Amino acid sequence: MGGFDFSNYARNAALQKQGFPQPQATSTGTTIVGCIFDGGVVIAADTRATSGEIVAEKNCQKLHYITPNIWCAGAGTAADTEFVTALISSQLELHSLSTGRKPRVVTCMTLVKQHLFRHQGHLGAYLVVAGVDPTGINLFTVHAHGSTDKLPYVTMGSGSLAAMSIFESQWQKNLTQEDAVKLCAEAILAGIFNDLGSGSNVNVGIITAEKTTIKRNFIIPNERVPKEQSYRFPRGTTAILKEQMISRAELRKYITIVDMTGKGTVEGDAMEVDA
Amino acid sequence: MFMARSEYGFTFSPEGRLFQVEYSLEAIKLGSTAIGVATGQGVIIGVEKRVTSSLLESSSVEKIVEIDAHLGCAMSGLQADARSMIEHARVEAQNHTFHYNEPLRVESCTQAICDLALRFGEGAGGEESIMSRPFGVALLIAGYDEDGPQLYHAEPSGTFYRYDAKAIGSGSEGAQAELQNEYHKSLTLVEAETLVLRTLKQVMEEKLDSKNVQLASVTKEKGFKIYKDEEMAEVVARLGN
Amino acid sequence: MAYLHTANIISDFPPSHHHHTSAGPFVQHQITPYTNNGGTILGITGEDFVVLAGDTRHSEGYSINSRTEKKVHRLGKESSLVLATVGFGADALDVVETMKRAVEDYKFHHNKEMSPPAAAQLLMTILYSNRFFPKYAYCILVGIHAGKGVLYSYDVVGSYSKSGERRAAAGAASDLIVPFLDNQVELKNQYVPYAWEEEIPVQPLPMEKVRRLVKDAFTSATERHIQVGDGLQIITVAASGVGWGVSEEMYELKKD
Repeated sequence: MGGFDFSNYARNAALQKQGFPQPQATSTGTTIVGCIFDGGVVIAADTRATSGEIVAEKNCQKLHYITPNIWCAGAGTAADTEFVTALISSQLELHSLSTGRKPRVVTCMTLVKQHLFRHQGHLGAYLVVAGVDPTGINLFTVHAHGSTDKLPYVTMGSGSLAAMSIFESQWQKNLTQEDAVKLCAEAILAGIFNDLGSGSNVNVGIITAEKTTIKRNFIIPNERVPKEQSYRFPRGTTAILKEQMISRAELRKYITIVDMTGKGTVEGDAMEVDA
Repeated sequence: MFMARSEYGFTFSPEGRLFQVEYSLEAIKLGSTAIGVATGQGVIIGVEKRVTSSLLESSSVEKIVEIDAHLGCAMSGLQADARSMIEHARVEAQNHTFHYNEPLRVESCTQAICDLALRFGEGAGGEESIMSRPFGVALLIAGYDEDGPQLYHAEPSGTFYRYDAKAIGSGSEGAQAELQNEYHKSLTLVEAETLVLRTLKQVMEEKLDSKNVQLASVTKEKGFKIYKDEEMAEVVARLGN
Repeated sequence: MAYLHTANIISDFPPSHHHHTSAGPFVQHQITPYTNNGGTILGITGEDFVVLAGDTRHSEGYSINSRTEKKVHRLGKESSLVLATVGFGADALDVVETMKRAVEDYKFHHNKEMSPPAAAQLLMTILYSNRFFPKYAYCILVGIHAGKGVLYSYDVVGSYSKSGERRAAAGAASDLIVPFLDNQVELKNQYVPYAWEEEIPVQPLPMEKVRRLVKDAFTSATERHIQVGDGLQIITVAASGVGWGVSEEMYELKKD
């Protein structure tokens, strides 16, 4: 029950030896930062997800919900950051329910680090854990092997050095919320422009004792210029290799139709399509 | 070797002369006559073969050779020396085609030959000396490139000039005078064939026939071609008496 | 115990990551002779012109070394030849310098400008002369020959098509750009509307259209490839009457 299934490990190792490439995980090459201020904590992230040198997603969300007052910024393997934060989120919810107390950021951080340590670095999750709880304002980093830090300002991901250069040159004590947001955004921008693993937009999350504000696309510094020409093909340009007519009557032999009108439909972001 | 150097062989004499080079030019004056005439349609080169014995197989006297499809040359002087020059020219031509996928220009070919001719001393690029004496042979290099048909004369001294018509070898003085008189810019290829043979005939000791002379041509269409026996016979016949 | 140290240049290619290996008493030190500096180049010919372009980002790993390093180079002031190289920056520049010198040398030796077919063959011999320790430089060579735009593209050991090509792309985002070129230049998978079997005939593109395709190829590659961006250098060589002219346009690309 539960845990991982390692039965394919030997098979995969053998395949790799024969020259079959291992599948590449989508990694959030990433710049993520966090910074405390008088009254709360700010976290921020870029929105580029890469698979090797290819940009897999131009506007992804790297700020993950844990509880209303605790959020994580994630770098590393996208699936791991997503899964670990979701797992810890539900554990904290259960923990909160059974204790009848508001969840604490240290608890979140401890759960995460124990989970990651158990997996000996095989889960590529690098997280900035931030939140405000009854004990006060909290900001941590957790590395994939389970080590943690507690600092007033933090950066992680491939753009961490670029981002840290901003903090190290501009951070000061007792920042206002506005200045903390500005500083974090500036740090993310440094990552976006100087680290190839980071790019596109700036997402920001502000957590105070009163409320949490997630500002998606707080800054959009990289808008694509319009294309020089249209690539719309005249109707009929594509060759038809084979034609088969299926009458409406026999449609159900090929597909199952379920009427979902109005409910249960999921709406995502509209995909970018060509003009 | 040491003697040669101390006796002003490869160094200047007090009068400013390079004796070994001058001697090599003398050697050419002993050679058989070779003539080249350039026209707008192509270049004709011709040599006398000096068939010194009735037992000599005349076809084995090779004084006109191919360098590349568009380049040929006639020689006068020490034949054996010409072998290495021609080998060098052939390699240069092949090398050029290998590197640039295009034929070597006539002037470039001549320059390459003259670079080798100077290798009795230090080479132009600082290469070590490879010969104990200058070549004893002069060449008439005929070729075709984007500038049209051309004729060059290359000497053992390493100098070369382009000519409309040029004679080298023992009969060169008389032949050159004849060419000077007869040459004009609108010469046809056929007229050039006749001019070359007629001039050779005048300076040859033997009586000219189709066996003791050899012609070759370089044209845009056919490139370098040595005249076959029948073709030689035809031109000789055209000459009359 | 004596240790044997051997400084050794690895011979595998293309470059890959190597680890220090230590087996028993032998320690093998390895150097990695190549770096991938990213970037992309692209060339398209028209009837009497040719366009050659490259981005100006020079990167290493996740870092940007330069946002303004040009990849497209003229081989001589009086020559229509233009060479673009991409791959390992140092090797790519070395190939350009070698070609520039060869073009200059050729002029002195043969009293004429080197023709594009001659330069094409020369570039092959230069690349192949490094067969067993290749210059990690992917090349696209263009010029005007007999009043027409010509283009040759090479692999790192010199393989090229003597008859030239209509278009080529190389470098980081070539995988993204080549299919676009197939479709827009060679008109692959495009049929005359409603005449299902009939392919749209390929014909030379006008210069303005080519420039538009080049810009769209690069802005799109910038969107999806992390090593492409910052700036775009577009060089156009156009035949005009008996001569030719070279012009350069610089175009901004996204910098993230």
